[in-house]
Amino acid sequence: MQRPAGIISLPKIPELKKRLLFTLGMLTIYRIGIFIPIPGVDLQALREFFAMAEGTLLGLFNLFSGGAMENASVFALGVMPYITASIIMEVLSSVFPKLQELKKQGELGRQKINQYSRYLAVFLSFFQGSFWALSLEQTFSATGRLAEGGLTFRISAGLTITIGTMSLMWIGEQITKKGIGNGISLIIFTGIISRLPGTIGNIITLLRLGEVEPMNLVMGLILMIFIVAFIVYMEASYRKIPIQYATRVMGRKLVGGVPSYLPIKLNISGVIPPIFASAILMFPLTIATFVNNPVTQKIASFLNPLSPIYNVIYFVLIIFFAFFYTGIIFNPYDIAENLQKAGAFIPGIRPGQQTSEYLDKVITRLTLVGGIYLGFVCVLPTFFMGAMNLPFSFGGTSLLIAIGVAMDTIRQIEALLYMSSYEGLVGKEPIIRGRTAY
Amino acid sequence: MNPIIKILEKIIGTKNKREIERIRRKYLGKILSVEEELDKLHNKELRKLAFDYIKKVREDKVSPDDILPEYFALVREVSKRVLAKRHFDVQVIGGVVLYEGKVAEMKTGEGKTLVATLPLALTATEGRGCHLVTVNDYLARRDATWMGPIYKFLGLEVGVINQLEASYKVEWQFPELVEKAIEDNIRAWPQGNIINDPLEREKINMDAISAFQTTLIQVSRKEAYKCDITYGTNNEFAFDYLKDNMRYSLGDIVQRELYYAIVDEVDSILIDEARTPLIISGPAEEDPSLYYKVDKVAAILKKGEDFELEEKSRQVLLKESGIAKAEKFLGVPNLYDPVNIEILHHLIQALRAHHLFHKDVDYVVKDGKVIIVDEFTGRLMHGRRWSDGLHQAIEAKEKLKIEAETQTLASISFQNYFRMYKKLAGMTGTAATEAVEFKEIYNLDVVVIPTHKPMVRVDYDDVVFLTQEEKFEAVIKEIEEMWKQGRPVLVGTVSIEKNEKISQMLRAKGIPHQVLNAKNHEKEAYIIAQAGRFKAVTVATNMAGRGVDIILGGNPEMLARQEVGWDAPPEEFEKALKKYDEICKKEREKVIELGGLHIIGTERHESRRIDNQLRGRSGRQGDPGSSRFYLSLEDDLMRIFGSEKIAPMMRRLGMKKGEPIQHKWVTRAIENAQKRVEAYNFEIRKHLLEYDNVMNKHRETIYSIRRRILSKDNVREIVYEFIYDIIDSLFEKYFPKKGEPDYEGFRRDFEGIFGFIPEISSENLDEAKESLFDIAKSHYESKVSQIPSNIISEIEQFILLNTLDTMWRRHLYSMDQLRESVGMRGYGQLDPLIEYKKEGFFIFVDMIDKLRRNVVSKLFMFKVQEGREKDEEAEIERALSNIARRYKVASPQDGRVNNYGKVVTQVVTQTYAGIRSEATPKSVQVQPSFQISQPTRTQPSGASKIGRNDPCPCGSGKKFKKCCGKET
Repeated sequence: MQRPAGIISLPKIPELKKRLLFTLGMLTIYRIGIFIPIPGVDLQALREFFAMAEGTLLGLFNLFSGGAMENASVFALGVMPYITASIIMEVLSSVFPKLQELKKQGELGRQKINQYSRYLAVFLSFFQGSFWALSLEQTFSATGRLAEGGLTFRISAGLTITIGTMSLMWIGEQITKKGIGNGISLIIFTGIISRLPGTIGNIITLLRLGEVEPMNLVMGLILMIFIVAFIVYMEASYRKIPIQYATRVMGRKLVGGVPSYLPIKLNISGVIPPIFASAILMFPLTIATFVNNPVTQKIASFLNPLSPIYNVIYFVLIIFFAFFYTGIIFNPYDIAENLQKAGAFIPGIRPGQQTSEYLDKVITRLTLVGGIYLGFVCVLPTFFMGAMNLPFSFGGTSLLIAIGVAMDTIRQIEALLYMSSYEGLVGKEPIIRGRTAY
Repeated sequence: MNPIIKILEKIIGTKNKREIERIRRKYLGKILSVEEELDKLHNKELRKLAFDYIKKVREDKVSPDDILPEYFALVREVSKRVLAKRHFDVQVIGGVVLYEGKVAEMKTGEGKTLVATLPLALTATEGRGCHLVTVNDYLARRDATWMGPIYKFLGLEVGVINQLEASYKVEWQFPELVEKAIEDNIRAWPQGNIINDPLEREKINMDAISAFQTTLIQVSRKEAYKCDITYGTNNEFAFDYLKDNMRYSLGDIVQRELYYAIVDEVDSILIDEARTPLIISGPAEEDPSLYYKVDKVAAILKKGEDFELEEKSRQVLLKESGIAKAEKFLGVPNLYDPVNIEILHHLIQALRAHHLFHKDVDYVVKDGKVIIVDEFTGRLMHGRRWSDGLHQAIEAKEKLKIEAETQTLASISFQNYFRMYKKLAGMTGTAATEAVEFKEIYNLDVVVIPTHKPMVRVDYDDVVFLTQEEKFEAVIKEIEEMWKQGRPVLVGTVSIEKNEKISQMLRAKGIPHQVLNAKNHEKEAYIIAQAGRFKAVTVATNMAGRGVDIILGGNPEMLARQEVGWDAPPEEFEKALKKYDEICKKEREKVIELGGLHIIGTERHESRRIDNQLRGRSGRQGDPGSSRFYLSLEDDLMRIFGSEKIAPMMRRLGMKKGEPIQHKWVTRAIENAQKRVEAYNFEIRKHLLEYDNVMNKHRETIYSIRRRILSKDNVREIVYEFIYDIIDSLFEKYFPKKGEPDYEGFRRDFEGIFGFIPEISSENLDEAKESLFDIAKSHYESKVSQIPSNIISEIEQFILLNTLDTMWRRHLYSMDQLRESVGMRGYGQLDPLIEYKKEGFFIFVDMIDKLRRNVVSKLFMFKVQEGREKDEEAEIERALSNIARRYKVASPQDGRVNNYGKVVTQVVTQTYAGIRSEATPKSVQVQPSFQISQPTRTQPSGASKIGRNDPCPCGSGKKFKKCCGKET
């Protein structure tokens, strides 16, 4: 049986080559942009500060921004404001009926919601940017203040960062249109991956200095490979619910063709639960930063990311949010309704109430497993850094995102390859071609 | 977004101007100077020049691009002489735009038909054929006949294709008169008179017009395509393409290459109609009584209580009580048990038929048949049937005879059909708004051609009422006002039903009027041509009477023609013409004084473009005119797509009955509703295209194989290719690179296909492949060496084509199913389109695999018996048609088309299993002896039902269910 053209042949197909090059080009622009700083920041002091903050939540944010934060770049916030805005819109749209209606109106409705997300993103990035500028003013590192203060600074920082984020969003959309895969995801992915060389260099240095046990390192590497494989396996897992169409019958039987099914991912909510969970956990910490009193400080010390209490609470919160978020985006009642509208049903189960209950049961079980898996993966970094004494964080949301994006991109590339694989399938004559693209 | 769009529009607007200027500068001057020279030539010399050009292009291989100015000038000159029509400068520009393969936006009344002659004639010189695609059969005939004189004079042949295989060719009506007119240099347009305006009637030489008339003679479809230019409808062209790919011999193929096409009303055809794919279907087996039974159930179910309606997607949602009632009535325990799936399916369709599809809106009942009314054009779509049992459900609802369900034999979307042309162009009055779609999907630029005279029509604001009743009353009032003044009115509606309603109300008031329902295009063309007369009131559905110019004061030629008839001698016609010229001229002055034609729209359409088309019928060629839309909040558009809050809001604001609403919010809400619908439809079209692109790949591959097979010389080669590929894949399967080689399995599989056991052992596998191929080859060759070569290639061809068609048919069905089922995968956050592409590919590859196996095993297995030979050709045909008849398989001469859109070839049944013809021809008899069972799901209509436990008719002695009726 003929197999589709493999990935190796990717460069040979002109269309794909174009797209690939475009994507790489755009991402390069992004990486270069990292080094454009916002005005008024003492870069040296900043870098030192981040060197110290490696393992903390702040360090995590830096990771997300692809190192933009420690460079005080205009891309400091990355596309995070947009992601946050989309999540907020997502949650809001299942609460407010007005937005719910919009969603149901197909393309135009979705575009409108998208538009709102964008406005929200502008708003968020301005405020987050100014806030960050404020915090820069108040933070000191060994060399002194990170930035000179003043309203002008805050506003200009806010503006420049907003522009930066908007540009990134635009770049992301261009990639989605003219390149391969989903642009925004790729940008986040690139950001995460860009830490890698630095981290590796770090480790090598530490290895030479003897601060790290080689044995630990090797074990850590093996473990890493297993974990990656595990995550890929979990992310690619689906529960396939068989579907039958009442409107697609011919003659006496339902014949030929492909059996239909409704796939439900094991991990429906993606990386949202850990993001929510850490947001919640950040809350008391933030208060502790501003309100200096023994109670808050004690709580803050408990909530040190490396402490066991933190991790337990984190784990539980993740599972909770897995259910919470899944419940929001995956409403069994809506799905049952949509099935009905499409004239489909699950064999043996009546549409409407019964279907909705069945789906609910299935989803609950899946979410439990998925939530546990998610929690496990997110608690990993602590394990790595704490128990194994390895000075880098591996696991958690960044790994999930990276793997998710990679898998999705590969799927898209595959699709492109399939379309080009029809050449020479049967017979040696060239296929009569018209004015179609590929 | 809006300010950006405005700025962009300014930039593009000037881009358009620049484009027009470019064309003007480059061509117009030259064309004019050539024309001045040509003007001096005698008819004879002019004709010789035309023939010379054709020779230059066809024999000396001159490119038409190089002679564009000279040839366009020639066409212009000829048009003057035979039609008394000279292409305006803007028309020439339009011609250039069309020739360059773009969309030319030309307002109504600018004379698009004449414009098309320029690029068509020029391309036709190459002799590769070009197609003019228009909206209905009548227009195809009319335009071809109208412009026929130009083409004929130029030495070009013109063909016309219409529904139901009707095909014509354009010929001179009076050939002797033509010769004489050419000899005597008789011309319709006086020499030396070059003006950029229509010629006054008195100056026209009517003798010339009469002499150069053309008419249509019936010819075969193939001959119509052989002509240099072919006029036809989009349906006919696309269907012919599909049918050609089901033919059994090269000689039957009617279409030549798809070289150049100009699509008239391109927005209607490429955008509005692009939504539904074109399908050729054949009958499938079914029990019609179920439909009637289910229909009764549907009638007793109550809306709201037993089911809900989803108007936008036209779906029905059954509720608990409805399910229970149905189960009780039908005596079925569980409607959702897979066993009862058919009943459930029919019930849903019956409910849809009763509540979502309305008589005289979505369909009409004519001659005991249900005929679909096209929602955009209001045309009757004969031969088109809704699929999935819906049409049958409607037939049951209307208490008509139910025609069998169908299966798809071939399908294509208009988008992918037209993309096959080497060069594509289009014309319409409204295109700019869809420029993005044209560019993205068809790679067509849009150029707006300036009007010959400036447009002075007044478009008034919309008037909105709360209820439809109030709206209609207001409409009638306005019509009455206009009528009393004598001003002509054209009322546009969205459905036949609404037409009737307005007509009723007008009759009650005693206002004489005409109603056009797009039921008879020719008749209606004549009616609408007079819609601009004094006191004319015309009520028409969207597209009734499209393509016909509404001339203020009336159209004297058409009036004259109506009076004297088509066969009248020229002198009579001229007399009538003179009379009507006078009448119309006077009326025209009156009407212009009154303000021209007034357009009343009664509802906004799903697309603003269509609204503009209605408006555009008034104000042609600088005439005065006006338009006004009357709307109500109860209109379909507002009801389905608008916000339900507006009506109560307006009521709260204290709107009184009979008072129109003219609030900014309402207008904006309506515009938004339209935009929403446009976006929705665009999404559907885009989606359809993305999915069809996958099918297109499959279709391209299969159709190109098919063409190869049809040209007989390649057939054997293809067979060998198949053999090699099979052996190759067998090797892959049984001797994988990693793993145990399975010799036993290989031998068994090989024998199953080729009929002999291969020698294979663990020695050098690669050599084994090559040597096996040679062995198989020689096996086959020795087997067929005893049969005369022409017979064997007929057989090979036949088996190849037949198997290919069957597999393709099944593949279409599988892909359809796949398409539906991938929708669900969105829930798993998988992109349905990607899934479709991926699985579609595997299904396709699988199908090709099965194709190879089936073909090769059939070829290796059949036995041939000698017989007495007489006339070989006839014997072959007889043998083959015996097979065909016996097994209801398409035979070579069986190209009969019963009904437009219906099956061309009979449904292919199962196997060649043990054919033993009853009526044995006294000659070569083909007798396959190997049994290949294929699923029995599609019994041919009319084939006797064979009981499953009865002895199998192939004579093997086994029970049918174990033999040919075995399901794979």
